[in-house]
Parts: sequence; structure tokens; C-alpha cells
Amino acid sequence: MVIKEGFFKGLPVCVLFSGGKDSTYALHWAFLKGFDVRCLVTLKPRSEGSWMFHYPAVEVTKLQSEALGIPQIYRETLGIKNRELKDLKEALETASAKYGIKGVVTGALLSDYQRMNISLITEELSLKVYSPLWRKGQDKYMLELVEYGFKFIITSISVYGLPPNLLGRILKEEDVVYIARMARRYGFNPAFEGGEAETLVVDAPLFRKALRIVGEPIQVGEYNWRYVVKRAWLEEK
Amino acid sequence: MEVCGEEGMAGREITLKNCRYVVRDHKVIEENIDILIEGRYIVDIGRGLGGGDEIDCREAIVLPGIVNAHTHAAMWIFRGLFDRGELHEWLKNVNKAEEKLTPRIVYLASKIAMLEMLSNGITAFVDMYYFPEETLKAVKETGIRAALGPVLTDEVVEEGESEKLVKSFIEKTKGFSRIKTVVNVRSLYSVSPETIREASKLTQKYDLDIHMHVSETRREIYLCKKRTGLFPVEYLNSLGVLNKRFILAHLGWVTSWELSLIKDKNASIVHCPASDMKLATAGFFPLRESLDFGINVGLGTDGAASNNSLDMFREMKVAVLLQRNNYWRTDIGERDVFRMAIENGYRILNIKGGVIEKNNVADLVLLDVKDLNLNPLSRRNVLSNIVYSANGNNVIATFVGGEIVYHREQKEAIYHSITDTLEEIQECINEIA
Repeated sequence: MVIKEGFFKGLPVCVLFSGGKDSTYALHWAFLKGFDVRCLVTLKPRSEGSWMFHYPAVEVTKLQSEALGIPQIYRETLGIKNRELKDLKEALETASAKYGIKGVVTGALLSDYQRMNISLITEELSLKVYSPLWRKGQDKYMLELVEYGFKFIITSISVYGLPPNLLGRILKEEDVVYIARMARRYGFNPAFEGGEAETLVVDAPLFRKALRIVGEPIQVGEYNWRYVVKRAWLEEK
Repeated sequence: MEVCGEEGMAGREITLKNCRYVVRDHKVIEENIDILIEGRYIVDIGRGLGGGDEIDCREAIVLPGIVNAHTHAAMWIFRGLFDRGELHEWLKNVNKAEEKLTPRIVYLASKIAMLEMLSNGITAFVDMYYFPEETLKAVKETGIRAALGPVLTDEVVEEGESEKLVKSFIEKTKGFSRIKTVVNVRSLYSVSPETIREASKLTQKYDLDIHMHVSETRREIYLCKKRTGLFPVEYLNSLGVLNKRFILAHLGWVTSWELSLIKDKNASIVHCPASDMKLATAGFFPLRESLDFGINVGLGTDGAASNNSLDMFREMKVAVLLQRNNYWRTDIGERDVFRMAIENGYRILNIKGGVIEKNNVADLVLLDVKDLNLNPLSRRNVLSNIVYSANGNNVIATFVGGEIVYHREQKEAIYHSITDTLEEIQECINEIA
């Protein structure tokens, strides 16, 4: 009897991994679905204006990869609209050649631009694509993250209504409730899908070690703040 | 040839007496009430009505007729033949098998599909298939309501035959108010933009609908984007063909900005959840968002080759389940899908029906309250039971335009009457398989 690849271990996939809450959650989903997560694929944009990828603190994903025990394909991209799609395609080709992946898991929440571009690239590479968080109820999702043990910090704020004291500290349930209230009041997405804020996961159920971060908040615009990571390391949990 | 439901048969009165429950629409349910039908229309609803043939409905739930808003009736012949393969791979096998089909087989298979649909409470369907004149013949005989018509191809358009084809089809439907001509275009990837423009031009000239598979698979959107730089609905809009007469089937890979275009142009969508899932098309049809936008969304089984059922009760349930499973939320429920399968279906057909009220067409379905899967039963859970527990076997009778076109008591007789047909069809299947 010929056993097809992936029969026992599930479909071999990579996770498009930015180190933020959505891609980390999608990674956990992939494990729970029985997928064989073979690698993380991370693209670091050189500019803040990326249409596709998460910008702040992407370097720290190398430590997250170590904490998860999952290899990473890490590439820099110029962060220019069409060029970064080409870079993503090349990174996925590498993942396919090196790790034999057959599918891609993404943390796309609500951006059709992101979801459809990934779909077009994966179609060309004959890879399946899975976006488990697509259009999920977002207030509830944020609360679930905290409840399920995802520890994450905010690394950038780009919207009126989010105070800078949220930067750099692990969000608690009351913070998430507060963010949801501000989101309703000021009309932004409570899970930050519009880039209102970026997050970094410092611990999660599948992390074997916890990430420790030292940094400082800096103001870069009237309502724009960054949490600049000065030092990051892994600690035993 | 026996022809059913022609104009001129109107005038007969029927009273559905003491209906246990009347589900007038997705919100209003009444108990122990009568419905008076005169000719093809409902003329009164209330207590103490009478006249004409009286039918005791004390043990019946009455609901408006169900519309299968996207199907390929003749593909009934392929049921259970191709149960594996994602859509494009599946389509290759089906296309090969279709080469064996003759007009007669299309007629026979379509007719049986219609009998099955009627037995499942489907009063109307929107069809797309080859040899539509054969399907039309079966529509005339079975008494079902339908929207169907020629499938335009590049070849037909290049030869300048499209208008002749459409005109000739319209001609054949004359005298049948329950039959509408639609212009079918299979898909963006099967025809040139000229063919789509020509189809649209004809629909405007003759006041018809255009019916097309759109954004069904990832490959389709990929090819469209590569060829045109646009996603399928954007592309249709750029051709100037997207309008209120456009019926877009499937749309599992639609983007949010395309939904806005559909809303702006007042086009309709038909969601086919079971077929999409079976063919592993893996899209995310944003049903909640589409309904919230105010887009008219109907429901369809697609063909029996890919569903494989032609039972809209199942389709309603599957539509809810798919949304709940995909989006981890319960904001799509029985009211939404009942409305889609019934009220929105009649809106697609542009017929005053889908709601049990005065002056609407008397397209009605009677379900048996004695069937155990419809119990426990109360006014509170009747809609829930219809969507989550009912199936076609619960249908006692189906009315189209005031005529009983199916009654459960005929079930055996129907089967025996088509025994020879089934044998003839089986011979064709043996050649294919």
C-alpha cells in the first residue's frame, strides 16, 4: 500500500509569520487541525509603508522561531507594492523546495488585498491556502487570545484613540475590553486589521521558551507611536 | 405530449382549509388559517374562507414555494458518477461525459430532475445547460416554473447566431407565464469579452436576465487577474455588463470591494454551499456581509453531478452550517436562509411570490406535521424545523400557479411511469462510466 505524503502527519504547510498575534494564532490553529507545520516564512519590509507585511520588531521573529522549535525562512523585502509580492512568491518557492510544503497558513483577518494576493501567488505555485481567522468576529477574538494564553504586546500605534501607555506591556483582559470600547468610539478595527496597531507575541501555548523584551516608546507622529525593542532574549518558561 | 399549466387553465378555486401552520414569510407564522386560491393566485388568507375544492390542511404546514436559483437539471444523469476531484479536474471528466449526451437524454434527465425537485417542494429553478429546448420541453410537461435559455458561446456569437437563438427560444416560451428566458454564459474563462457583451446586449434588448458562474474557484480569479488585471466582478463591471438583470452564481472568491459593485449595480447572487464544498472550491462567500449590504442573495443546489442532492431543505441547512463553521459565529440563521431560498428566489425570477399574501402566485408547499422529524412542533420552532430538520420527503404536495403539480400519493405512480426512461438513461450512463 502506498501511503501518501502527509497522511499521518497532516498536510505539510508553512505559516506566513510576522510574530504578531494573528499569524501566531493561525500557527496554533494549524497545529490543532493536524497540519504538519514545517517552517515559518517571514518577510521583513525595509519600509514602514508595506501593503502586505507587518513592520515593527520583525527581527524578533528569529527568537520566536527558536522558541517554537520551527525553522524559519526570513527575507527582507523593499516594502514596495508589487516587488514585495514577488519576494513573497520567491520565499514560498524556497519553502516549497526546502521543506516540501503543500499549503500556506495565513493570519489574514479582513484585508482582501492581503488574502487575494496570497491566493493568487499560491495558485501559481499550486499551494493550498488557509486563512482561519478570515472575517471572524474581532472583539471576541481578541478576548479569546488573552484567555487562551497568548501573551502579546503592542509595538506600534497609528490611530487616534489608543493611548501610548498600551505600548510594550502584555495586554490583559481589561486592556482588550478597553481597546474594543475605544475601537467602537473612534471607529477603528478592534483587532487592528487596518494597521491601527501592530503586536508582538512574547509567549503562547506552543512556545517552549518565553520571549523577554526591553524597549522604549517613542512618538513618531501626532497619534503615531513606536515601541523600539532595545534588547530581546528567550527565557525558560 | 402532455402539457401542464398552460395559460387559460386559470379560474379554478381551491381552499386550503385550517392549515396548521402557514409560514407566510421568514418572519410571520400563522396558525389554523385558510388560504383561498383562485386561478394562479392567492386571493385571500384568513379564517372561515371557503370555495372551490377544499383541501383539509389540519395536518399540514404550508410555506411558499422554494426556488432552486442555480442548477443544471440534466446533470441529474451524472449523480454519483464523479464524486472525487476538485472543480477543474471534476469538470474535465464531466465535459468528456457530456460528449455522450444526446438531446433526448437531456430531455429525459431534465424531466426526472424536475419531478424530483417538485417532490422536494421546489416550485421554480434557474437552469443552465446544453440543449435548453429539450429542458424547456420537460418544463412544459412537468408544470414547474423555470428560467432557462440558450448558452452563448464564442462560436455562436462569431457566427452571428446569438440573437436568432435567443429570439427563437423566447418564441418557444410564449403562452407560458411560468417560463422565463434567460441568457446563459458559462463562465469568464470559457468565453471572450465580446460574447459577454453580446449576451448583455441581448438581455437588454429583450428584457431578460443573464446567468453566469462567477468567482467560483481560485484558479478562475487567478486567470482573470492575469489576463485582465482585474478580479472577475470588477472585470464584468469594466465591460459595462453588471446590472440588476445579472445573476452571479457561486462567488466563493469574491472580494469586499466587488460586493460594493454588486450592490451598486443591484445584481443578484446565488450561493451554492453544498456543491462548492463538495468540489473543494474553498472560497469564503461572505453571506452575512452580502445580506447586510442589501444584496439579493438566493440559494441553489447546482447540478446533481456535484451536489448530489436536489433538495433545498438540505441546502438551507448546509448554508447555515458552512457560515457558522467558517466564521465561528451564529449570525446566519434559519430566517436568513429561508428568505434566501424562497423570497429572494422569487425576486431573482422577478415574480410576485415567495410570500404567502394576496395577489401573489399560488406557489405553495405542504409539509406533513405527522412526520416525526418535524416534531416536536409549535409555532415557535416551525421555521427551525423546516430549515434544520426537514427534507424533501416531508412534502405532501407542491402547487405551482395554483395547480397541484406533485402529490405524495403519486410517488409510486411517478416511479413506475419512468421505468423505461430510467432504463434508457442507464444505458447512456453505462457508456459513460
